[in-house]
Amino acid sequence: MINQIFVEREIENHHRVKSILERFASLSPIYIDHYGELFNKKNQNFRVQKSFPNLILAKKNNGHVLQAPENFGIGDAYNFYFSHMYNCLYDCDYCFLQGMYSSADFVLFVNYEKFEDEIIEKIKQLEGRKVTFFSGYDCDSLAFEKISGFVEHFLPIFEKFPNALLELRTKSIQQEPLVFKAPIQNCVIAYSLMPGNVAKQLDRKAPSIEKRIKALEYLAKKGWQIGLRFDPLIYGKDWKVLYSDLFEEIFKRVAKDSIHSVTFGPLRFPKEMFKNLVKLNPESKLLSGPLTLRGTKMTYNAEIELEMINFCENLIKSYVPGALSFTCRGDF
Amino acid sequence: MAKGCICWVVALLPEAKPLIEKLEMKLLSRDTLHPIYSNETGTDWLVISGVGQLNAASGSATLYQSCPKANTAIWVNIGIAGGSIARIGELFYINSIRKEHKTRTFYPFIFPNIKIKNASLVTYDSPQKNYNQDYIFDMEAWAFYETIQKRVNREFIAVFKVLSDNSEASMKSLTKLNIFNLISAKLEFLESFRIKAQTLSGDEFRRQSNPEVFDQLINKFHFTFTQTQQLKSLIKRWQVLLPGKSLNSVMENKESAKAILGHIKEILDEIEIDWDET
Repeated sequence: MINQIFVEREIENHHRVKSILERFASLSPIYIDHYGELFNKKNQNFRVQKSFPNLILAKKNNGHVLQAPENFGIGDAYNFYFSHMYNCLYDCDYCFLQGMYSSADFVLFVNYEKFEDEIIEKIKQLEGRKVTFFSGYDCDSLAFEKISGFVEHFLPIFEKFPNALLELRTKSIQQEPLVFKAPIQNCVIAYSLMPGNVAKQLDRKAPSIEKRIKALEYLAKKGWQIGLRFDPLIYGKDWKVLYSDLFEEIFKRVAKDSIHSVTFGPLRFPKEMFKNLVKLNPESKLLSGPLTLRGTKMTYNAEIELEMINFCENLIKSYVPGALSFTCRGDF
Repeated sequence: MAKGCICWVVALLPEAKPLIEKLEMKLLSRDTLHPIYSNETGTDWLVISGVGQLNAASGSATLYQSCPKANTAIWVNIGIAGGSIARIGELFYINSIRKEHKTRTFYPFIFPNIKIKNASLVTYDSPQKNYNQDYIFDMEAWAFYETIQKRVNREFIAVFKVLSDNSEASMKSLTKLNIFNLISAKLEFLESFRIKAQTLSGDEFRRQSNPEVFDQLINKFHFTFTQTQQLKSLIKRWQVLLPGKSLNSVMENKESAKAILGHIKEILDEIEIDWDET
């Protein structure tokens, strides 16, 4: 899975680095001064790196907790996001990370304590007001857990601050440490979902939708709050039937009271990012499809977009009338 | 399937000779600044750069200008190096390259599942006698990498070095035959690397190539620069959404580039993707 490991010299003795290196005993680490020596440089081949990714262990020095974009949230007035990792194990056609970074290598920032300090500082500044912290926008929150121990570290922190909500966005069916812990009410496990046959073509390397539903069904039964994230909504032949079947399957298996929130997001790419994505993945059906430039974004035409959101929202409401439902148009 | 290409940059003729013979390469022209060799199928190109960084940079640039697939080729610098980290004759895959007195380091991509040891390398301007280091040293790799990484992706550049001299066996005792034998002994490994490299290069060449029908259309109608870019993009979309369907019918009765582009776009924008079809 990992081709080579690079470690910033400054953190070579960090306990998290040592334990990660033990897991990859067969790889000799290469010591570097800063992850920027390798990551996101010009003249890198994203597709090759995606097939043979390196792991870079680094220390994040600033921007640990950032304001979420406008129009992005699941009910709270204050929204922040934080990224302990750049890049993801999965290889999804619509993933904005491909357009954002020229590298597919994984950068894991091991100084979790600094993220923790800033999260607590933000919570304290807001003096008990409701705030959501999103994780999983520059990576998948759970997929790398066995190596990163990210969730294991951050859950107990949020447990102490019930007014702060943590969203873990994922496609992973890796459920540790959630299955071994008592659920905490201010953590939402948010699964990215789309019809199974669509995911089969677009979500390369990611677990199938059937497996994702099984995972969220299990976590819901354990008492965890579940977020359903239909972002992006994908258009195609029989899309209404495909989304209807998907919703039916989910609500047949998952107790409605375990659903914390549902969000929909139209397919959208900033124009320049879209160009990069097409260059990297010229054989993608999704990127070759009927997308149009609206303002600065490549999207489906407005009519399709609105029809999809309205259809899906109404259908969700027929299953869970009081569901917290949001449409996300913000970009990370 | 498109064939890949490998560009070998080698300092000395005795280092190059085993490859030239094994890959049946022939000297292309004596007029170039550095001798360039290629095989009949064009899958392997080689330049003999000469010793030192200036020569390595210039030789690499010359080969880049000469090889028609230079952009998508895998670039390999192979040669001898000094050092005491292993016995003479051991081959190393270089994972970091520094230059004497410089802080910048290059980290070449390491192909997966290549079962040889990795090493750090420092490139010097003159032969070294201090072998008591935890790295190996040469006189070309930095300049080779620095020159080529400006032109091709980092994942397409590799450096291999065979240990030729150490504190016990000095450089002065190296003969042409010694050098030839050191590289010859690694041909089996280089061949296995070459197969992987050819595949990667072939894939990249295919990804960057224009579809055949593109040239036909460009030759038949006048497309402006912008229209040419639009045509490329539309043909690629066509091949993805309507695989196997010919574009010839689209050209029928069309008298201008604009009409062709409009017609292709109209057809493509009407398509509802069937996600059940693979």
